Amino acid sequence: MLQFRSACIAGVRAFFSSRGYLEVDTPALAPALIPETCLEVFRTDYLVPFREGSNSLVPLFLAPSPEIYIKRLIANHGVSVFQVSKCYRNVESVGNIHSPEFTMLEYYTMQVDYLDSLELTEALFSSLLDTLFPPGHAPETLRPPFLRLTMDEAFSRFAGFSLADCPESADLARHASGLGLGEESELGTRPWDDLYELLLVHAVEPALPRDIPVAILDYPARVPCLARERSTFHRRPDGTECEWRTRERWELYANGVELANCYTEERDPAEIDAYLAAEGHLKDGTARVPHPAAADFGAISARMPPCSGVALGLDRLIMVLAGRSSLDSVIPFPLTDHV
Amino acid sequence: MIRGGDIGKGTVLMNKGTPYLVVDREFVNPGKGGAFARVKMKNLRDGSVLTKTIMTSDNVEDATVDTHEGQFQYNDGENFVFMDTESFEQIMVSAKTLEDKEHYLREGDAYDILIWENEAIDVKIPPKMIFIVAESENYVRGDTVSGATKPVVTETGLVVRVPLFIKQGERIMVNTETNEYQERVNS
Repeated sequence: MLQFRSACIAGVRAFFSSRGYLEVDTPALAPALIPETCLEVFRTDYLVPFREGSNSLVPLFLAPSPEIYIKRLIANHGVSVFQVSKCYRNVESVGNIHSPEFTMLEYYTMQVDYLDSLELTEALFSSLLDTLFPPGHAPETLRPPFLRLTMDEAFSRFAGFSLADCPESADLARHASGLGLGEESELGTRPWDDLYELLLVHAVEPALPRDIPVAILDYPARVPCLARERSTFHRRPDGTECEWRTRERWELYANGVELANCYTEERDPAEIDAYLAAEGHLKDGTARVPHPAAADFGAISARMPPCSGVALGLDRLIMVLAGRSSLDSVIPFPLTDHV
Repeated sequence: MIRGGDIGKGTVLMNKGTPYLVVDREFVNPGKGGAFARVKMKNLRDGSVLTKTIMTSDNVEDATVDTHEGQFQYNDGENFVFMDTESFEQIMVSAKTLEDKEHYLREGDAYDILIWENEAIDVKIPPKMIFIVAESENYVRGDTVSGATKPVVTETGLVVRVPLFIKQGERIMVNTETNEYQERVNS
């Protein structure tokens, strides 16, 4: 397994290097981070030598993803890059598909959007399948082309209704109640995005096909993230049309496991600052490990050329390539032995 | 009541007055906001299986379950017989309750047994167990980079796929949740 893991990582490096991507290697320690309410971080303290008292400790945080540094590099140099690095997420379960320390592959391509990144990811999968396995032995359930479904199509197919037909919390509460997730009156008091995520987790994700990689595209714009927003039209069952705002984002699932997340990166400083302010405010209320927000992140993102970035869980990719269903099998010294 | 985040395998939840034993639980964090526990649970009255998704911050009704440590003695065909390590009384666990877990039971080993209303409803299997390879065919050493494996049988009758270099008599660590080989144990 150590040989297989090594060959996978070598295959990833060869793929991106041959396409002219610059391999970068950003720090694990950061004084300030992008506020993200969905994750907690690890804090450590740098002890300044020969100093005593209140200014002898400098809080530093283990980066939960290299995004904060990579976007700075892109803003300064404007080149396509990739990185293989350890990431750290606190309050993360230790289990078959989760580990608080894990290996992430990030790749950013200049002058492209999220659909180009999806094609690039398909090429990466083809390349790995062809180089890691003798002919006829590769796991064909990972073979491109990926099945592409918009989030709205995924809901229609697996939850039985169109998300775009449900503009109100009450609409989603009715469907959630119908699926046995609680009383409609109680569910109706919850925000739309909470109910959407509940339904995604309960009805859509477990039903995704496992015999082919699935990319879910075009996430609802009401769920904030740093992906570019766009407007489309949705045809209701009665034939009328309404606006359906989405974000240029996809997530990739293979064997039912979420592997990667991709955006057409948001570059509008006003949008980014609004996102950071809202997310930072929420985070201040919920964070168990508070951390400073990187104040210049909006300005940095605005200086990037148009680009699209992908974050891919490399341990999970190695796991599905090896035909395993637990990260324990592919991570040397897994934490499951200790906690 | 129990918080969604505290639900684990072996928790007994009450759902509309019916007790359900949690057989699988996965935490999912889809993005913004709270995380969810995706729970697969077995109806203790009729054995049917239900999946439910619960916010980790929500409280749900649970039932009180006792845990007894029992040493596995033997299998009489219908029941697996354990001895309570405190009271030395026999605890009978029906073969139906154990389903696919029987090959993780080793005579003389102690296991936590869940008792609900005087009936053994589940036996907790440690997430990792070490077994001895009892039967293994000898394969020619092949291409390990392609992850070639072969099936072996442990001393308890468990069938596991292992890398080709594993030989009869060696000890292996197995992930009991996925029934996958993890590593060779040298000692």
